[in-house]
Amino acid sequence: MVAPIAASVIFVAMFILIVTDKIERHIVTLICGLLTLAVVLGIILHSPSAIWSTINLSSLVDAGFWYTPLADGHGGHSGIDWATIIFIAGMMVMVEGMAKSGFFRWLCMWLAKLVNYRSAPLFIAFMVMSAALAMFIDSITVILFLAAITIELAKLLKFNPVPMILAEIFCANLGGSATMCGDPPNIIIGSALGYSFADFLTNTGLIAGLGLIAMVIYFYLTNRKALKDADKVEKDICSLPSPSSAIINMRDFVISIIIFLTAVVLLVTHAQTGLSVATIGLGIAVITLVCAGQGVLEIIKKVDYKTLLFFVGLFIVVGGLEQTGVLKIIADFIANVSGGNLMVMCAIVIWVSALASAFVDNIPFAATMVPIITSLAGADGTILATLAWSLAMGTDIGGCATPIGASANVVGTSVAAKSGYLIGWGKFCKQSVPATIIVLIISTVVIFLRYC
Amino acid sequence: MSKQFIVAIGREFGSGGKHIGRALAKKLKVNLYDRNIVEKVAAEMEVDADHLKKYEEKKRRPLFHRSVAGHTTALEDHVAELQFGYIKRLADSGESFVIVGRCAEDVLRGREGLITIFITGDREYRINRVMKQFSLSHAAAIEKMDRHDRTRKAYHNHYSSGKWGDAKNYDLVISSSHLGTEGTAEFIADYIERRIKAAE
Repeated sequence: MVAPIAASVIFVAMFILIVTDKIERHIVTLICGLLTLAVVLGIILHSPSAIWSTINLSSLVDAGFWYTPLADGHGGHSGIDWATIIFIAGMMVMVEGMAKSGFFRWLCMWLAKLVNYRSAPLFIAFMVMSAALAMFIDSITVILFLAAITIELAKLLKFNPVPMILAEIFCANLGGSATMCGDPPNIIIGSALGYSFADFLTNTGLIAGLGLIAMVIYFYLTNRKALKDADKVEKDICSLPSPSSAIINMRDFVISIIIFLTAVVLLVTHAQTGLSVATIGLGIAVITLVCAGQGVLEIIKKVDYKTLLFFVGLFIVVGGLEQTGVLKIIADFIANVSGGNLMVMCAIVIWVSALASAFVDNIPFAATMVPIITSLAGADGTILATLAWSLAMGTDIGGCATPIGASANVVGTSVAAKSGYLIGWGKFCKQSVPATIIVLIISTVVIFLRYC
Repeated sequence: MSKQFIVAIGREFGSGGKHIGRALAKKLKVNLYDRNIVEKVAAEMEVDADHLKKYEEKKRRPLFHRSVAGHTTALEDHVAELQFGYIKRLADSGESFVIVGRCAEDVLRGREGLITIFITGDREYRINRVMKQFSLSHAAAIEKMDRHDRTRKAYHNHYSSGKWGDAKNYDLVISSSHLGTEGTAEFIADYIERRIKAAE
């Protein structure tokens, strides 16, 4: 009984420290992870095997970790999910290479020119581009560039960039929910439960697609007056920078596009090729670094190692909860409340995940919920998949509701604030809460109709 | 006075720091920057100054904000950074000026020509000034004064390395109670002129 209590106390302390934002979150999870290993698994349980299993280094020498010719839902294992960490690290390296070449800026400027800088088409085009890019690239990077260019265009074209930034943030989160690599909760869910890119695309991808259509209509309707007013202002289109001016180095630019497309192809076909996400992440990182020439060190230095360490500590703490049976208790509680009814279970998973993700980091929440839904589903793969899609949509979309719900929200509002456009809780929630509820309703209805 | 000098003034609420800053700027024939910095930042960025003012000289709330990869949702942090950036650019431009509040003594620490001052005052003296200036009762003046001092202290200590009002952080700490705001301004002006001469 002492071990589950100690593991829970560490977990709750970790959450509180993350929410209070006084200590950097990677330090919080690493300290809590060390406490879990030393106190819970070492001193209380006296279990070196539980420590080893939680650190999970043995998975790295398992051939199936790198190459799985028969991809199936093999079920999660507790402890550090090295596949997720290696994949995220690999994508970070690729994205740094792309950013260095001017790719994102070029893409935004090109798209703006394509729609002739008219407000409504620009608004919709940037929403769709945000969702499309976030399917393959982390939403922080997508928003970092998109929000900055939106502000630049807003100054030149004399419109208020805030509604557009809010729509872009929402669509980045929505796009991220469509694929396995789009949002960290999806990588965690997919990697732990053995789902492929295609599994996500045909399940959460479909819901995200419907959500995107609804959101384009919603954001357009709620901002149509401002968009119309913006078009009335005289613009000097000639003064706008040309898309080609964004390209810093043509050789790097072409290489970064080829690497990006290669990553997309490898991810889309990974169920067929048998290459795991860890292999794809590592491979893409190696190719990026080899092609970077003298810029290797610059790219490596820019990799967000703090986020990677955050994941390491987080997985250990959640592993401690799993090893001590706490997550099984929570799963049993949900099973009791729902009476074993799949519809009720899905509704609980979607809406509770959404509510929690609106206020706390959705990454630890998803990592905690994966073993819970695995336990809830028992040996039934169909129920597990249904709960997995519910969890993915709940955590990914719930985070859209508030400024602190998802990383893209933090980065987007921060980029706007640095240019003097302050987006507080009121302004953010007024636009995003109804949008979140609409997409959550769409998710619930689709999951009920399709799987229950 | 061709060489650049910057007078950074910290102050307790009711001590007359703002009036002293204004009198010094007039005497030294330089610009005064206080809350007008927000307006200047807003004008530079072509945004609404009133919106920025809501978060000015305030410490971030303890909850309901989050940081990711060097970005934060705490709007107080952003407004503070925008102001600090403006203050640094002003100093870089070579202009001599007087600045009140905004952690200026910390933001500009180490710059040649920086003179840092903290204005304090006896409690009753400050209460009387607040009562007169805002037409408040004794109790209401105390409440207002304490609230503002708490906010200023929290803001300063959050964004600065030194403590608010700590004599170690300033070249001169002076109570305005004895000479009044005009007399204190004259005294400080004399000190500044001596400092400038000593530096030449």
